Amino acid sequence: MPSKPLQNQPRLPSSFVLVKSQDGFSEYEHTGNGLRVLHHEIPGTGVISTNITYKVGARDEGVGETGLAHMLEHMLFKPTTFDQGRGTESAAMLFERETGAVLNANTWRDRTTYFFSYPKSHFTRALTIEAERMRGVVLTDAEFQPERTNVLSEFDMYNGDPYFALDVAMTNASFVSLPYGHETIGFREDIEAYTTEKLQSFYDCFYWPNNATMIVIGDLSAEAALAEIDQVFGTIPRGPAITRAFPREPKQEGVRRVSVVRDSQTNILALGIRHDGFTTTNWLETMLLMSILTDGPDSILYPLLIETGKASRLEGSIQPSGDPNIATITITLSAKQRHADIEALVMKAIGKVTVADITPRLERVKSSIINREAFDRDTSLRIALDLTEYVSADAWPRYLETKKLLRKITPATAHARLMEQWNEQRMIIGQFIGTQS
Amino acid sequence: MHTTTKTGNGYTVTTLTKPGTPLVKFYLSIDLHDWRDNMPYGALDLYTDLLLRGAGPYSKSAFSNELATIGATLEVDTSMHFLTFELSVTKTHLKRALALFETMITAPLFKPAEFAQAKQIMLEHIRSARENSKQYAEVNLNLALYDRTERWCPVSHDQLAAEVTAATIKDVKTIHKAVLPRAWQITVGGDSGAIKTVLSCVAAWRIVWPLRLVPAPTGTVTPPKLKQRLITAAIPSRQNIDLAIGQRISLSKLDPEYPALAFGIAVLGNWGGFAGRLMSTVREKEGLTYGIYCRLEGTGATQSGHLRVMTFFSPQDTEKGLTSTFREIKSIIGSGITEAELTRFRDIIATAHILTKDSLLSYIDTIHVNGLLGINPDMLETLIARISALTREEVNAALKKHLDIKSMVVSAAGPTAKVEPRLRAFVKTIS
Repeated sequence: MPSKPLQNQPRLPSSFVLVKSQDGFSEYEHTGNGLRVLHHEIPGTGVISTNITYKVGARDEGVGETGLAHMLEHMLFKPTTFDQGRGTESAAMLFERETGAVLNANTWRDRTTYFFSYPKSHFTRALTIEAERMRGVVLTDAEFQPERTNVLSEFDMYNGDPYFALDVAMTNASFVSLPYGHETIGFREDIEAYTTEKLQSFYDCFYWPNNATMIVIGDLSAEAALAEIDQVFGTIPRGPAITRAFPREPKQEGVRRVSVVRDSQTNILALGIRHDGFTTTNWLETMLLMSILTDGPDSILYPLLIETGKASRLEGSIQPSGDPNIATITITLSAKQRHADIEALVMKAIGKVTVADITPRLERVKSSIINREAFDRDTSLRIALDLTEYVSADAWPRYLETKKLLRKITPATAHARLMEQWNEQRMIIGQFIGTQS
Repeated sequence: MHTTTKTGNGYTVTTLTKPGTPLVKFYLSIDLHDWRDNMPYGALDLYTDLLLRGAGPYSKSAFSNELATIGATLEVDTSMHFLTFELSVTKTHLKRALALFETMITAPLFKPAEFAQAKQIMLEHIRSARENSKQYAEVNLNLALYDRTERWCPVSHDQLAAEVTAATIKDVKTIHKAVLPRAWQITVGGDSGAIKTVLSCVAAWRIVWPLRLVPAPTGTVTPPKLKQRLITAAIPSRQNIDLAIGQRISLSKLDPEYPALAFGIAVLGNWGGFAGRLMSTVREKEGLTYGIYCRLEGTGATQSGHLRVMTFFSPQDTEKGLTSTFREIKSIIGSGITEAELTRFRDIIATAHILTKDSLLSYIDTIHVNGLLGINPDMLETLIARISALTREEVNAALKKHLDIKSMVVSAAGPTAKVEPRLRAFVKTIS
């Protein structure tokens, strides 16, 4: 367990040790229960945003349990044992209803995060809500059944979208062993089969202070923040050690193809390529390459697809996840275009890309990312949310090192990555086929 | 942050100064409302697209590259009968971004090949938009509630497609010559140095495009009489029925009863959060939908707007969902809000304002959009202050006076064939 003596630091509760400090952000660990705190002060705003990130997500779900982490996320907005003791509704919902605080949560592959943004006078209240629901959620049928209906409604909302439907199929096809092969919301069939016992077991495994990081950004000193956190969380015991044994994904030998056929006018082609986990150089290279291939009129594919009228929409996407995952180029076909023709065109074009093609584009994309960064850090809430994936990847200092990380990537290394990734035998290719077109 | 508003030669400008911020955001809007009898939606959309497809020495990709390299974003759109330019950039690259903007407005290329491409892409987007059930429900609602000459009246997919098809490059060039000499409404946010830089550019541009006043439209516009209570758009590829339920409201934002009504509507369906009655009951207690909200839209200093309820239900739950929704609406009209709700929502609205002002980007957007409709920052602050002083009686009186179930329209889009007969039967019960 890393620990450093407190030198030139604000006076902190003895229960916290400084883990690391960089550019005004500091990480601390509670010596009693292992809770991590990541703090950054923005004085004078009167606003604080807090974000507690648990290291549990879709990848912790077994077969038949897909979407459990997300279902549990919903349950953390239900009354806790503490609320029942007080005879009130859920403290989290009451917080919003009484103060207008912004609140929400989301679940991803490796983590689940709960966040609030509010006037600073509510700091203790926000912390208390998180502490109470860390171990006090009530998982009975009375609370669970109506919420399951809401989750099914959410599922149906997403599932009606052709892009989501194709994404689900692509995700399923991408992984044989590693449990990234399902969308975070899970399969409808699994959601319908949840029991409170399954939820309870999942909750008791992962919802502990030593599996969580509390991110605190805003108008509050570290000293004050940690004193309060210690007060509110200090008595929650450390949880049992979490053992995870994820299988390694077997090597893919041969292209994998999926299709979704629906009564629709839309036709979509999706091309998925493999990349390493978030904040690795491989991930960054892939992110830059997605932009080079798809972003704007000067991208490699825009003139071939958009300017020729073959496609009406072209997007590249990559998601942050701890383990290797897939990045996808999604192409919405114009009327009368065929999936196979567009696929052939794209693969041929990418195969011919040279270092000279990449060089000017790479510099532009890097420059754009660096110059836009300030816009993504306009508020304490944006900062708290953007830090989530870095915290989940145990790499929060990288949030502050964009320039340094991007400098490592050269046209030659990017080109090599492109050629390695765009090998059909390792790709996942999906078609959304609209039968009305 | 503090705001100022002043008038220059041919423009009004509102500034939002945030010391020390590296961010700069700039809006320039031009009112086209006098074209309301014949608003050229298709040609206007093509015009806004073509402005970004090359100017001066820059081809389309060169222009895009210049913006991307400096991390600037530049958007052009037309909504509410305004042409609006929106530029955001860091202070470091501000001068370069403003130079690009100037090139765009003074020397757009309007190349025929780009025009043809823009047209084709736009028609494809309209084709895709026909499957966006949420947007379709909203468009149909507003088409029912507004006269075509009103700012908030949208254009239907069919009309837009026809106009885009018929538009010529000459139409686009004519629009360009006509719009820039008009009065400009500007909002700019950043530190004082950045604001000074922007304003000196604006003054210089105004010399290139001297002001030419256009007469304001005359005559009053009457909202259309309610023709149908239920509008459906069948989109079989969707899984859920998206709904927009609404009613015209005959209040402007400066009307003394507006704050009270807005407050009551927030209690009914506070947009985006869990605090409103609709979310508490229709979602949480009854599990009928993932999201249900409502708000007042389209109101300005002199314009009246409408109430919109936004939600979706599965086909099998649509009738139940609508029953619950209208039950809540009837309840708030009949019984009003409680004293506890008055206290809570005062805090909720005050907090929302604090959080908006925490973000330069959010706050400047709020200021500009309200400014276009005649509400300046001081008026906004007055509205917020007024809200904190409301009484329960005022809110309940406004709800009773201005909400009317019999004036409400239900617009549904999605797999409506499955539910249409039941929808028609339901709407009869609320008529």
